[in-house]
Amino acid sequence: MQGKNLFLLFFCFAAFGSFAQHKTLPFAGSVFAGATEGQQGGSLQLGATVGVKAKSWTTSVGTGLDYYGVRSIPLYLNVEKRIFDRQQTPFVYLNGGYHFPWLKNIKNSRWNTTNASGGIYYGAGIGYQVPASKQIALFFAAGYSFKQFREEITQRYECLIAPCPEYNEKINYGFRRLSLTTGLRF
Amino acid sequence: MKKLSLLFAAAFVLLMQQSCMKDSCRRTYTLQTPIFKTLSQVRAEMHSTAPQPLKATGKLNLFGNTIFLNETGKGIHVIDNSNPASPKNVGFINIPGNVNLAVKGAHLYADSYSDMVVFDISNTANVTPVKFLNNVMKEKNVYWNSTASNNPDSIKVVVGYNTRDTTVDCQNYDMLVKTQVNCPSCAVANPSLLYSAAAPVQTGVGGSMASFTIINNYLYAVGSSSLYCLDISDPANPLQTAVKNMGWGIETIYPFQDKLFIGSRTGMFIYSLNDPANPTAQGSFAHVTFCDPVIADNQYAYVTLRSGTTCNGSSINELDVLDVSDLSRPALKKTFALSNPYGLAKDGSLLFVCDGTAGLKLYEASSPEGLQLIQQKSGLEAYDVIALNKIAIVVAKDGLYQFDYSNPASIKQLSNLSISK
Repeated sequence: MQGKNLFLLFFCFAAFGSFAQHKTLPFAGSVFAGATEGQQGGSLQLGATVGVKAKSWTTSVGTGLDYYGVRSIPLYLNVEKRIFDRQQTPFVYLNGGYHFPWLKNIKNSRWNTTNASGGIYYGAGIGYQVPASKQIALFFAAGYSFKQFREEITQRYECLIAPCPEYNEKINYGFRRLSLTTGLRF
Repeated sequence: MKKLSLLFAAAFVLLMQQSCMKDSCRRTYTLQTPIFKTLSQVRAEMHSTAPQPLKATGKLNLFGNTIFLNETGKGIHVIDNSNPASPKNVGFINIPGNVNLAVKGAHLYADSYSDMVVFDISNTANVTPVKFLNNVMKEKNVYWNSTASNNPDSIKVVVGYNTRDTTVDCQNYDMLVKTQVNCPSCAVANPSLLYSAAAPVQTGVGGSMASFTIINNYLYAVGSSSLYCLDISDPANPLQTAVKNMGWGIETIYPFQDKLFIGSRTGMFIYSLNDPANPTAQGSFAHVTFCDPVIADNQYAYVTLRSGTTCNGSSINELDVLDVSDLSRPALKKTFALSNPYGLAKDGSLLFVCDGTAGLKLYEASSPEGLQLIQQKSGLEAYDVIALNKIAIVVAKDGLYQFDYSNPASIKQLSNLSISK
């Protein structure tokens, strides 16, 4: 499972890199790290986006690692609007997509298995960027984000007379949290 | 541009409100509501009805060309097996709380919770009860003595459940599931109570997971802690002759010659039938706690040990071969590793083992201490088997399979009476 997830991450970055080499629009990318804070406590998030910019707008696809509630890999479309057309400027962003849980099948014990599946993932927020060099800007952002996570739990009861009874239930989580990030954009 | 910024800022502030920052959790589960009938109604409905699709498999008993297949807690399917390549589901005997069965001549003996019911099966198209014995297997009792009168018209029995999917907030879930049905006189079906069929000419043949067996004029039944002996020389009027307390965790009973081999979670017990009305303990083989059906031949007993929650949580899954030439002191000769074994059967030098999800395994057992795996039939989750006349009848999770083992090196599937979803 971890190998698959690493492959997914690698594939995304490779696709982004290929996309970024497109000559017609200027490349826009970012890497960031941050924290999410909500009812589940504080968690780490890491990510990167790759896309194109036109005037004060940037459109990109993003991915990374999100540890809030359950470790997962989000894959989303991100749209940003810089308020001023200069290096030092506030900006707003909106993104949405899907996230994939890091572990899909969890065999908790011989009698208890969990199938996890991801769900919608979205966020919105504001930020501020300052120039760090001619091509690179440092940014800080704060926002709200949501991720949906689903579990299907099967519990088996051991018995002499098979088939033994099974109990199934589904749990649908909606994680809502505050997101604080900082990073570099190109 | 300022307006746009203000718009985003306002949206952001709104999102930061407490309600938007609260995680949600919704849990969907199946809510089961019991359906009750009075014991009088239940007994009035205990007879053969039109065939019903198999919803689950349980214990089985082969009598001539008829297979009686229990569906745990619900009753017994009657299957015409004149042609093993095309078995026909021909009827269903409605018996709430039924797990065990045994057949002799024109009579079928079945439990219904702690009661014993004798059916006339001389005409399998019209099976009717001829005798109800109240509260024979007391450890399975769920309704007797729970009311002052013990009047069958006032005792309520669970005959089924209405189910529906229900979604609630997770925080309310624990409180909901802890709510019990407040009906002290009701017989609530408890899977742990629903245990256990077996034996020669004129009697049906059961699997190794059986907890009823008939030898000559006696029906022997095991509950979780007792051995019950019933004289059935008058088949329609069984008389209880003895009850033997055997400790705990008793599961299966297997007849061989004038002995009873009893599998329990603590070991294997051998009872002598010198006095068939009052069996006496003759030997035992103790082990740590596992689920373990047992079969035997002239010199060896074969015991499968299966791990499980109610059979202790260890992970040992194996087949033990015991030398029982000295019945007072069975001795372990060899152990073979398995995946998750259930029932087993032996025909001549062939040993069949139901190894759960690993399927059906066929061993050459002419040398019991050096079993050779000949064939493994995967693709079925096998639980119990009867091997007779070159036909292996296998109870599996998804149906009743039959295999032709005329050529042990190439056993051939004849049929599968599937469970309907």
